[in-house]
Amino acid sequence: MDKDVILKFDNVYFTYDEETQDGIEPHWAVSGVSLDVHKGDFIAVLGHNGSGKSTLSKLSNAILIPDKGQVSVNGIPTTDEEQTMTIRQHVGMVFQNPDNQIVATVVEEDVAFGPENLGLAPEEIRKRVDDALKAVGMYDFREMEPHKLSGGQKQRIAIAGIIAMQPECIVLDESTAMLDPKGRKEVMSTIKSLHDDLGMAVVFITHNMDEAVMADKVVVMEKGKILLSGTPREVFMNVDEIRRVGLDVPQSTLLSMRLGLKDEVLTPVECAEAIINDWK
Amino acid sequence: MSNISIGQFFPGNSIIHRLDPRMKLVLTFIYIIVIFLCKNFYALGVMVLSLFVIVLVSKIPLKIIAKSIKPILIIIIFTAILNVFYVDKGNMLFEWHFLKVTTGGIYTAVFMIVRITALVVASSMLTYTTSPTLITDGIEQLLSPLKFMKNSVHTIAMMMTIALRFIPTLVDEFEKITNAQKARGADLETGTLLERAKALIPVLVPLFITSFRRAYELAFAMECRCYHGAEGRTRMKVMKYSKLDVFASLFILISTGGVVALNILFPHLI
Amino acid sequence: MSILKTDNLTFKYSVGTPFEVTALDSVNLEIEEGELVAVIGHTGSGKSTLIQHFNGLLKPTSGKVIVDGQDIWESKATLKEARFKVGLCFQYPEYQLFEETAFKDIAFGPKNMGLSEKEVEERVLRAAEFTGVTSEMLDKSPFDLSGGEKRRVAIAGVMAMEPKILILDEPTSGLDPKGRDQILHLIRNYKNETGSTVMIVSHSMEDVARYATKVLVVNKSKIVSYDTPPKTFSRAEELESYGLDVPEITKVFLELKKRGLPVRTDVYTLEFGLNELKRLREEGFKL
Repeated sequence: MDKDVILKFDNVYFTYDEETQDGIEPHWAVSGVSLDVHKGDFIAVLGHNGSGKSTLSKLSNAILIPDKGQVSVNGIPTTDEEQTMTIRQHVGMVFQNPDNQIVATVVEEDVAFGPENLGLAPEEIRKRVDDALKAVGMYDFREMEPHKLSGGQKQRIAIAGIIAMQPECIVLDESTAMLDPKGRKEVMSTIKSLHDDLGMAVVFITHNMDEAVMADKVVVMEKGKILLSGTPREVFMNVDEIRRVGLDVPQSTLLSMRLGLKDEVLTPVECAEAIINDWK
Repeated sequence: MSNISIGQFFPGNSIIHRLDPRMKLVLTFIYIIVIFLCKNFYALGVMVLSLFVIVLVSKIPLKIIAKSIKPILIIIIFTAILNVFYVDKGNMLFEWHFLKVTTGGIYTAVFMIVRITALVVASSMLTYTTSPTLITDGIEQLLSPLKFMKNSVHTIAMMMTIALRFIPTLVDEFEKITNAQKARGADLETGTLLERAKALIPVLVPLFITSFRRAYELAFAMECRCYHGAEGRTRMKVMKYSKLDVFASLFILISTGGVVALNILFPHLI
Repeated sequence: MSILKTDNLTFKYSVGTPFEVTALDSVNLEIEEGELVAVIGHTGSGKSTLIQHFNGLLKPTSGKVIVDGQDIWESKATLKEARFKVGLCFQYPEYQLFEETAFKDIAFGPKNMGLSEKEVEERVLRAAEFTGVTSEMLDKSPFDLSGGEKRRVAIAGVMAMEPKILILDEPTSGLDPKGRDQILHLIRNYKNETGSTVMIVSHSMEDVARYATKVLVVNKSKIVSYDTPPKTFSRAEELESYGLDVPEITKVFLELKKRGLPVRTDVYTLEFGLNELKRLREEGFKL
């Protein structure tokens, strides 16, 4: 086995159908997905609502157990019930609604919740909480009541609550979907710094291509299967394919394609440069 | 709406604020019992005086203390009136048909007023100077030696914390849904009591459904953060008794001693 | 005649306390009938407070709100009228659904207006058609519908009141690109077919660029601009100073200008951009 693989999906199938009859194929929410998340990876999982991307995230830390195939975290299969806590400590998860994941009435006490569950010594918890709050830029707010914070700030608290458990991989399930543009930027730059500065593997699930272009690797899901996968550049060049499954392509990419430019363009700056080069 | 505060907590850094919440809980409890043991005005005076010292040290404005008495004002007045008319002792001051007012009645009424007020102010001092989280944690820790019920004590404390955490969120939500239904012409302000209760359905149904969804998502989020009950769980903020707690206990002990001595010295109310 | 007007509209929270905050500061605004107005401004700019004044959910501290020539706070009757003339659909409207069936839920507004049963039914069916709610969906419990379907039922609930002005607070938040396009399309269709005025609060400049006929920019409790999309987006720097973005195509053209290509910078859609580049080519401009 590859040593650097933290999270491994091996031909995973999952259905929400309660009764599966022999001979009749159930409706697979996730259907034959294989994916490896390595140490330090930064992966965006893109797909429309109902494409199976959220189910995939819940399979990653034993909230859901695959019907077929296997999900393993550092080699431990998620079916091993004795190891559920270990798995959840290694793969942390942040959800969509920041309000529904904050437990305590004081910011620092909420961040401490995970480490407290791990049974760490008080001094160690204190240190981790302070470090986590500094990492998300919320240290000055440590004594505030969470409901007095903005959506972006609450979501950063939720992220701090996860990184205080020191996971190797953090999965964000549409964690920016309910935020305003400012909140989105805050959270995206926080995620980027977790990856760049702390070397954490990041898997974030989104239907927003602006966010997906920030990743090192993009996986597009459709009908429970992986449709496309590769670098953002490779993936977004399949304009027709992506639009067919109800997703967006950056406007800059569209413009350069309509102009018939050869350069692979993702951002406005790249697009402008490509147009200038072509003009010359 | 997001600036509402939970409970009556007034953050501060006074000696009273810094006392261990467990000690505060126990001492408040003792104080309330002793208040009930007072047999005469001298003993009660000692307790009032010590409460006064506590209030001054806590630096909570007297105005706010007065506010805490407001909700029970009716009870105080009612008790006073009952005592004035029903206690028949000492010199007769006034008599009209079956109504009699005696000096004994007046004394008892005043005694009751002071006693209830002290009782309320003392318990308010606990909630004013201790955050709701610390109170729940304090109760949990105090009851933790009861091993056989450790898990249920933890569960109840956790439920209280979560309830406190979600009160402002739900108040916000209630307001939002109310506005949305008003925008669709819902009339929540006029009509008979029954009509108004009925008019609340369009607000309460969505509120309940949202709350269930929140509870479901919160449970997931807690599991993802390795929550598995009290077993093997530690706390970041460990409660520690300090010298302050010793002083506070001595203070209450001396007051209690005073009350006992005065109770023996003066067997009568006044 | 303007359909909606405000006259020195000022609103303060917690008046008379140390926490007094001015959320709207002498707002003067006139909106013509039949426009599709996009309201933009960052969180806390006052835009939510503003739209809640249009149907009388909030009462101005001073100043007037005039809907269809009528001061809405003149009497109880005018206020009630305003509630139905101005339909307000809040963010995440699916969280207000409560009835047993989608049909009954859509009927809630029209019923509150005191219409006859027949009229209510007609309106429900019309609104359902605009929002693409099928008859099968109408009979279902709203809680058994998918997220996007719930959203459409909730919007239908406001449309069924057939307001003169329909205001939607971020109608596409949380939806994927396909769901977003569907909702925006149906809103535009509704506007075109009924001729009513529509206002959309939005954070997405791409949506604003594609659908709006006018853009209202709110910043720090004041209206800083009310203009057509090209004129609004030609002031990119100003918008950025309010913490707002510009459409991506506008960004491309700003970059082109920086690099010496004499392009217009009020370009905000893909087609517009292609035409502008074609024009420059045909003029034979050389770098």
